[in-house]
Amino acid sequence: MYRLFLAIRYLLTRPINLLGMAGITLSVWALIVVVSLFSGFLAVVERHVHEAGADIVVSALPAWTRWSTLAPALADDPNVAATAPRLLHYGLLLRPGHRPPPAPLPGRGALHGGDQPFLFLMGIDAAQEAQVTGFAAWVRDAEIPAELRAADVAAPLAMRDGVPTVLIGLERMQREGLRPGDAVLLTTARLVEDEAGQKHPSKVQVPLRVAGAYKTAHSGFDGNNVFVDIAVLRQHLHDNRTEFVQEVAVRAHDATTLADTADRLQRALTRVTERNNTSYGVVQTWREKNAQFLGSVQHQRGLLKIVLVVIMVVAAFLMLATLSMMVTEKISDIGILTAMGGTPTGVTMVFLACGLVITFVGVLVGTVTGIVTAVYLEEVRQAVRWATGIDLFPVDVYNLARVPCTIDPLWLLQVAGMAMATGFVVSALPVLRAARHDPLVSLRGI
Amino acid sequence: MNAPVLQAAAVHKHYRIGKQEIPVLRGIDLSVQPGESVALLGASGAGKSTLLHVLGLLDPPTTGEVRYDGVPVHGLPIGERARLRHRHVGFVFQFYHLIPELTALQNVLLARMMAVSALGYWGQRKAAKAAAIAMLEQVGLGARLHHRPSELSGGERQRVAIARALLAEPRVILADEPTGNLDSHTAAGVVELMFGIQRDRGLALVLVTHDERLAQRCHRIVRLADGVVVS
Amino acid sequence: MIAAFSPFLAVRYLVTRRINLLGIAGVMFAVWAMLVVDAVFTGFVSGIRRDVRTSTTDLLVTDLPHDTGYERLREAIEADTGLVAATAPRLRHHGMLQRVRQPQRRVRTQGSSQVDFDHTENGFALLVGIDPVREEAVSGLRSWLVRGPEELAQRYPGDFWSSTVLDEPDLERRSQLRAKDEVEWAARRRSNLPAAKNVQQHRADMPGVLFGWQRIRRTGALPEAEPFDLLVAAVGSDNQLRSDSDRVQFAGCFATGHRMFDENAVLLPIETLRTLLGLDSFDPASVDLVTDIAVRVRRDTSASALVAGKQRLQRAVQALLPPGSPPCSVLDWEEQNLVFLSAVAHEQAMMQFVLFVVMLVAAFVIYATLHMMVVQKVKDIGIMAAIGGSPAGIGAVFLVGGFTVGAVGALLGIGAGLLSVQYLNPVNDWLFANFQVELFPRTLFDLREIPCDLEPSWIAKVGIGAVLLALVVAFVPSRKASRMNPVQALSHE
Repeated sequence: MYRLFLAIRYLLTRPINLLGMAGITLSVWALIVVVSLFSGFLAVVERHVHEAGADIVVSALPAWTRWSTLAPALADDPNVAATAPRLLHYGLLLRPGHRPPPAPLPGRGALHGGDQPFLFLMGIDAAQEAQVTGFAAWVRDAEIPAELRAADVAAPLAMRDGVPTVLIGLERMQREGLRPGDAVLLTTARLVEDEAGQKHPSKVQVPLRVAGAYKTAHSGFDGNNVFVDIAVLRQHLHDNRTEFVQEVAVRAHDATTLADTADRLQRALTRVTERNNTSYGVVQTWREKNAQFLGSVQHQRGLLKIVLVVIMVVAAFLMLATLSMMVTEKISDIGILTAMGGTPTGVTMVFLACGLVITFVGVLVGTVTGIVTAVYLEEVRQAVRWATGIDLFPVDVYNLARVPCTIDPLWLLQVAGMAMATGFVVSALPVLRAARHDPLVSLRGI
Repeated sequence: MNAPVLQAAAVHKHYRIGKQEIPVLRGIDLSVQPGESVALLGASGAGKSTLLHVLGLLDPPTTGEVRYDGVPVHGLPIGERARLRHRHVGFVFQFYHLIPELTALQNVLLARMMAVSALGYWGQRKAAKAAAIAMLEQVGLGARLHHRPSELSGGERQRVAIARALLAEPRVILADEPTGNLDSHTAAGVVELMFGIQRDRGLALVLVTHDERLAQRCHRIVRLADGVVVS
Repeated sequence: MIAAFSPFLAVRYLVTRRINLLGIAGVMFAVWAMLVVDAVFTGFVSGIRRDVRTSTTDLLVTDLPHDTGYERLREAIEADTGLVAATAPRLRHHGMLQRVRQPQRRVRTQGSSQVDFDHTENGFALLVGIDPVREEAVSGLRSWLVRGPEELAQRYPGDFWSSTVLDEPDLERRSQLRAKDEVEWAARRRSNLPAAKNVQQHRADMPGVLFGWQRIRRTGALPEAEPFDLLVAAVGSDNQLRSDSDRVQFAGCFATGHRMFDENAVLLPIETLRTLLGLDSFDPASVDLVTDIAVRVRRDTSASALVAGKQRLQRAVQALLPPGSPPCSVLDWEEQNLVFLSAVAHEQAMMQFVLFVVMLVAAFVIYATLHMMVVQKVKDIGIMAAIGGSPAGIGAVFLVGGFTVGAVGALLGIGAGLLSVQYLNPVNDWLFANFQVELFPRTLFDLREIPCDLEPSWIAKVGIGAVLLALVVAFVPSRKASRMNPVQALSHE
């Protein structure tokens, strides 16, 4: 008992030990805050990607795939909650009578390319799409002004004056000054086979009306994609083949077992599409589909972790310095305590207890402040920007409303464990020195 | 007649401990002429050391004046007071007060470095070193120049302290029980050395002691009790 | 003035107290980390900036109104002979490219769709019409064409031939980026396109297009003169939507190193693009249409002259535009890539913030050791006062101590940093070969070597910063020392 008592007395009477604590606190804090920021960023990116792409996507389907045979095969799987067919194409939306400016210079326009004139066309069945993605919420998003909202948000792609309609991302709508009901001309190309069996691109133009705006959380997605009814693309690009489908979006009941589900779906798909002993079509979870992009963000987080560990190393130096000095100063006490009946090794444990208390309190304070800072990161960012003009995390570059942050309990444990281990090692070093010290020397008062 | 080299006029010194004012010196008047040696005698707690600190500018008096050569000194700016402490007085303490990291020679040299700039010292470092060695030889430590205080005996340490006090050629030596920590044989040697130098150089000496025999060797004895001069 | 005893004692204290070595070690480690990590990061960033720089012309006159012609503006710009060395027309548009000979459709097993939607998947292209002859005078077109196959060959197996279109002696053919007759003939035969019976009778007539190497990553290696269909749609000056297509051939691939440019851009003869947009070069009423004018400035132009020159050019060009036109822009290379470069700079700022925290903790180490020194040296402080040390001089002992710790730590750290940077790649290779540990994952950078760029200015900043920080933290203990009551200090046990 006297060990802990003495350890705490030593610490309280020597404020310099707080500095060692501050070092540990600072490093734990930085490790938690910065990594949480990046984890949060990653989580936001993942969520956007996930929302825009459904749980599982079946793509690269061969031309002979029929929706009426594919859909039941997929729906058979116990984990499949809903499926929606999609056709994908690309093109330009031009407004007759309006000349758009040329495409922005690379590097001067938006990084996600959402301000380019090109668009991806997603041919969807609005009702089925709403079952697998957040489509229904996208057209009802609170940020869409009333005058840009689709006339009937329950059936946003309904014909207008007998003309098919197109849903456009909110930012593009605003940038180009489009209103619901405006006439636009979709210009694209399809491959047509000539008499000699040669395929040639042939121009396709489809008059459309603007249905209204939609908004997902990810403006990169909004900028690049427009929605039209799947029947429009079937009619103009695929010779009215009503069964034609290029991609199937799948929502799963249980989002934690997507990889297994994807494997099962791949086998089911093979049974449906197999021809000449070759399988066609790819089933990917949203994570696999975007592995490369998500991987790059994860890599960045990994690099930052390396740099942050450097802080902990310097904090270890700091603790080593304060503890060594304390041992130097208090080494004479070892003799006194021995005289009072402690064993010399037992007495040296006092110093170890000091180091561990410092580490423990440092980790505790660092973890708590780290979590608090991480949770209120947006407020901190605004305060820092207000006070110094420095923007620590440019949310607008990443199109986010506030600084993202995700606190991973496992990472908290890792940081705490690492800090405790570091604290133990740097406490043990001076203690070893104290243990080698002959207590009689200090009693003789030399 | 010349002004006294060191003079205290109606010096009061109070310490505050908590809410209580404790008077330590209560109106001390004292003049020390050049070449004069004065012994301050008194029991523990009579205020001898405090008076010495006030005389040596280490501690300001609560009221009253300390004059060097007739000039009041406690009102001077802090840097000037430090310079005067260096030029005018030299301290010798009971516990020697040497800096443990420095050798005997370096401890003495330190006194020379106090009042010159780093660059200025660089120009005169050889002369300073020669002077310090000469001073240490004079106190009989010519063979112990490069020893640390921990490697020196008590008497040797006090000789180093004396050499340090003398290097800046002060007019007054303020000695606070210089032999209090030494055995009688060693003490006798140190005392002889101190009085010898005082005589040779015509310095004033203020010696705090409670050793009557030592006090008898001074020109004058001033007895302190409860912060006042009793004789 | 620093009293002589201050540095003397400071050094003695430091030398005799080994604990101060920890302060030095802390600063050294922090400086080392700051230098190495920043060197890698700066190397990476300055690599990007260098690539962006080489992909971009000195100045670009842009934001021009619709239907702006080149010649009139060229005369005005080139009249500024003090600034302008050469100009070249650029016509930016968007189009779609479709390979004439469809490759066999295979099952793709790799993630293909990207969140950053780079438009290459479906043949979308940012078409940049250039005049190859003039272009060579303003940009590094020739070196881009050398680098393209190099970048590909470093990463993928396959035959990545270098383009020779710029060496074509016939100016007419060169400005059309045409292939050699026999090459185009072979390509036509391969793709079942109409061609003369034998190669001698064939005259190449397909204009060439140059792809960024990132596009080749997706299309796979392409043979010389591989035919493509190029489709363009635009709203013309009559406000009518028109679209047109042309058959072009793959004339080579380029790499500027600017990721966004290499992914999106397709270079093609400006005349081909003008024709596709409905402008007949034989029609006297037609406009020699441009959207931008690339400008190379004289090599001896100073930074301030460039700023003044930009404004001068802007006024000169604006004067020639129809009245009421929105202001055109004259952009230097950084302004042309504002969004891209600022995203890169933000990442670097974040890294530097983290490194600053490292330095802060290192400063704590100095503070701790100095503070302890003051506490343990209280008696010495009394002695110094007794033998005539001024408070300033006593404080200076500890200030000089802190300064020395900071300076020695910084110097050692800089030395270690320079060495590490020198041997970073060998060490990283060795670690990977023997322990499968990668300090800096190469996949992250997509580069052969870890880039390393230790800027002297950053070394100076870190070094001076470390010393200043050491002085700042030393100030507190030194003030404490200088304010100590000497009598109490002397009687301190």
